[in-house]
Amino acid sequence: MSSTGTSVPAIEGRSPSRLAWEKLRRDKTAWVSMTIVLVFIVMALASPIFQWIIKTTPDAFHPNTLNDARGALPLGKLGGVSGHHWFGVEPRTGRDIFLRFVYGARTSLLIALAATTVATVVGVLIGLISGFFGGRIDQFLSRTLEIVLAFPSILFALAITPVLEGVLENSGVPKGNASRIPVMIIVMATFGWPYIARIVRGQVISLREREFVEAARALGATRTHLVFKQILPNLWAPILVTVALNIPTFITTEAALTFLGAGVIEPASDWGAMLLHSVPFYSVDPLYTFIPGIGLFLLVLGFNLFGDSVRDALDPKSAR
Amino acid sequence: MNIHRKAGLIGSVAALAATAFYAVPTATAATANPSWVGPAPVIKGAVTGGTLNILNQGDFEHIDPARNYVGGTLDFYRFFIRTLTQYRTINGKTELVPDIAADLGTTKDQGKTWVFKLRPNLKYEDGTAITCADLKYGIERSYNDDILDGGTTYAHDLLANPTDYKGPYTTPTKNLSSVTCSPKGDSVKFDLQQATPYFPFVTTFGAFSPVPVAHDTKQNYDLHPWSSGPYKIASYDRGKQMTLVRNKFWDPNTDPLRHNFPDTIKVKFGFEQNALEQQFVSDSGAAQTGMTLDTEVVTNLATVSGNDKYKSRFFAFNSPYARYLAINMDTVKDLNVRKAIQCAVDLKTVLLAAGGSAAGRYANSLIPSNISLAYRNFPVCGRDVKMNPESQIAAAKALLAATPNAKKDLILAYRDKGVEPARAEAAQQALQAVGFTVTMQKLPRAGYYTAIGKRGVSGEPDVIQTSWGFDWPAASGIVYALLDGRTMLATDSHSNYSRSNVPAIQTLFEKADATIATAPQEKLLGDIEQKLIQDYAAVVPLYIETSNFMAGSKLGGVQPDGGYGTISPLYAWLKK
Repeated sequence: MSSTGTSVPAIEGRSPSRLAWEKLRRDKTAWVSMTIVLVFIVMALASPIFQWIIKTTPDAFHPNTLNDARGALPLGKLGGVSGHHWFGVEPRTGRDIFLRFVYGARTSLLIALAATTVATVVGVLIGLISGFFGGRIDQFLSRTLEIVLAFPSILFALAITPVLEGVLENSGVPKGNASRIPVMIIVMATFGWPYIARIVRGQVISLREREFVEAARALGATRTHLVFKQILPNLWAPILVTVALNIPTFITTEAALTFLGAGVIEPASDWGAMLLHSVPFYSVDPLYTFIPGIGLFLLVLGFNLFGDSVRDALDPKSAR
Repeated sequence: MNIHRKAGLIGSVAALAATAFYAVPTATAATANPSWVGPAPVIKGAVTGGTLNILNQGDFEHIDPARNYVGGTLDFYRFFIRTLTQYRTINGKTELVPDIAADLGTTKDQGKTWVFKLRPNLKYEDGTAITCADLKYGIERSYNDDILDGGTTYAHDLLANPTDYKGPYTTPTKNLSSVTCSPKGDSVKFDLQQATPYFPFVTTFGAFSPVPVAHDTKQNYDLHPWSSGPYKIASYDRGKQMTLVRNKFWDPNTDPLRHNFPDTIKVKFGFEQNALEQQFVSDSGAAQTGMTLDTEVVTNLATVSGNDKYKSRFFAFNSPYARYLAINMDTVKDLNVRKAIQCAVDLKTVLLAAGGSAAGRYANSLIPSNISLAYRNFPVCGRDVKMNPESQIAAAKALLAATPNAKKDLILAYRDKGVEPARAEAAQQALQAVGFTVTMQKLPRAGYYTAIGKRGVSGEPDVIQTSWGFDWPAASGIVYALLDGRTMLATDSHSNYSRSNVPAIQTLFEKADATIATAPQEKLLGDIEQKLIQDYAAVVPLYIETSNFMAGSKLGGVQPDGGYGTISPLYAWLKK
């Protein structure tokens, strides 16, 4: 029988963001993926602490961990895994793989997040302008965007990196990673913004004719006000989703660029470089290949799943 | 001129004592030697017949004798190319022997003119006679290196050329006046620009081989060089395969170094490194009756080396390469700082970075120990590097401490190829451990040797990671090229990367020039090298590289060749 009285929950008004947050909170995938991402971020931030615990640096050679007679492969099982070297050591150099892994996470996240930020700011601005003003400006920006999208980005990045690097070095930036990493960020952002711009443009076109925009316009609001105060606040959901899905793309691009030789300069740690170095040893020291591979896999998966969950949570039509 | 460009070399694993592989011949004494007459010494157990497979990753760069400058190919193309002189390796001993010549040359003026007697009754693949005029034409062709690129430049560099001859394609009416055939055509005389005691070594290169004018197809000669050896090219599909069949006009009685055991030799190109390695390890398919000239054992080295199962078909031997660091004497002027660099570099981490003891053997000298007339085992930084390769940290620090205003900021240049970045990092760490600050200068593969030779440029490196593969197995093929400052320009050090230019040493070089007999000259060159390493700290020798190759179980007679430092198919035969 039905109970009488008190258990009927109170009906309360909930904002869309509140609804989204609660949906996200109930999503197990979101929790798992967020945990993965957070673990990596914490690990990357804590890398100097690990360095202090293990009492070595990611670049230091450890010749005593290597078997001189057997191709300078690590001594011991699983590529030299021990209490001191948790993930083993690198063949031929004896550098600590765990430290290189956590510092590699740092490089990956730093470059991916920076490139995402630049790409997002540029993409949102161009999307707003293109969508809001329409006409010739839209024509011009949209064609530019399509041209950029049509470029074979990796090949172009390989070709343009030394050129841009030369420009930076000539203007006084020190050689090495000080000029290489900004170049990577610029190159990756250059090929990343069109995706955001295109989504934002579409949204702006549908928003700019809406009543609240009309109302503001009728009240004599300036264009700047219309774009930044009326339209932009309604775009944060698609932007957030695109950002969450862009980060993993940039992480893989960064690793690919380093793998192909247009990325981070050694001895700085990087997953792409680790993968590259592990190739000759995949049959004799498979763990060395797996570690950066699994790192990339988990981090990319984490960000992707999290991005999906955010999108589901923000989409009122999705039912899960 | 850094030659013997090898394909697919990354470095490696495994240990095997390389035996002494050559004895430097005395080139001046030209007394007829019974072993110079054919046929070649008997190879024990060898039988005739079958097909020898050669499986390579890439096609030969060139097989036109005027254009080939790659170690493995110089070795291989002896199947169909005969040169004036040539190397013969029997039972691990290599010696220079006359090939189409009948002797190793004679000189009456300290090596400025050389006369070689020629062997009679030699024939090409079509049965026509090989003449002295053909040899002269072969040499002349090498002057047209605008059309026939890729080869050695020794003929131009050494032969006198008073009429400024530019090659038969450019000036067909003239000829090279410094090469003269005797009226009977039984000997040939060379006039050189200056006394060159090592000339009989130089005549092993392809430019000194006979080419019949009637069959010279210029660039296309690269597809079918007219054979003078025991095999001829039956078909050659560039990039895919080449088939060699017996040349019935070749007479073993005229050849002191070649055999022709297999009926056919099939060369296939286009294999992938790891797949090919795996094929040799598992001894399957064509690899069972095959070998490779360009694919070293790299990933499987840990499995193969020191394993009795593979012992009979695994070959680890000295390559012609010495790896070393040149210290720039222009920019690092202070001897104590150079000595500190020499003491600081840790040969152990460097060799480990290259693959450990299977990749090479610690070196105190740029001259391999096998070049016995010149090599000597002197200490570097007060220790025997073979026993004690580790960094001499205390000694290096003391040297730096004793030097007021010592230059401590160094630029280390290295090439972005294979294990070279890892080796450079190893050197960087060792140098930093004693108090240097090292800026790394990573340079692209292409143009590396040009870049590091430039003098007086901004950012000129202080320490240069480089290597040298000798062109002939003697100190004269190493020390002149790497340490002689006399030909250095203000803007270009040539291959004297340490920019060594010491008056006292130049006097010794002049003395060596004037010493024509091989043994005393080699000894003098050994002295020069020792002085420059010990007293002037011009270079830090790191290691002499080891090559690691495999062959199929059904092959006999496969051996490392001492003349080229490569794995040689010349005496390969098929087990029944």
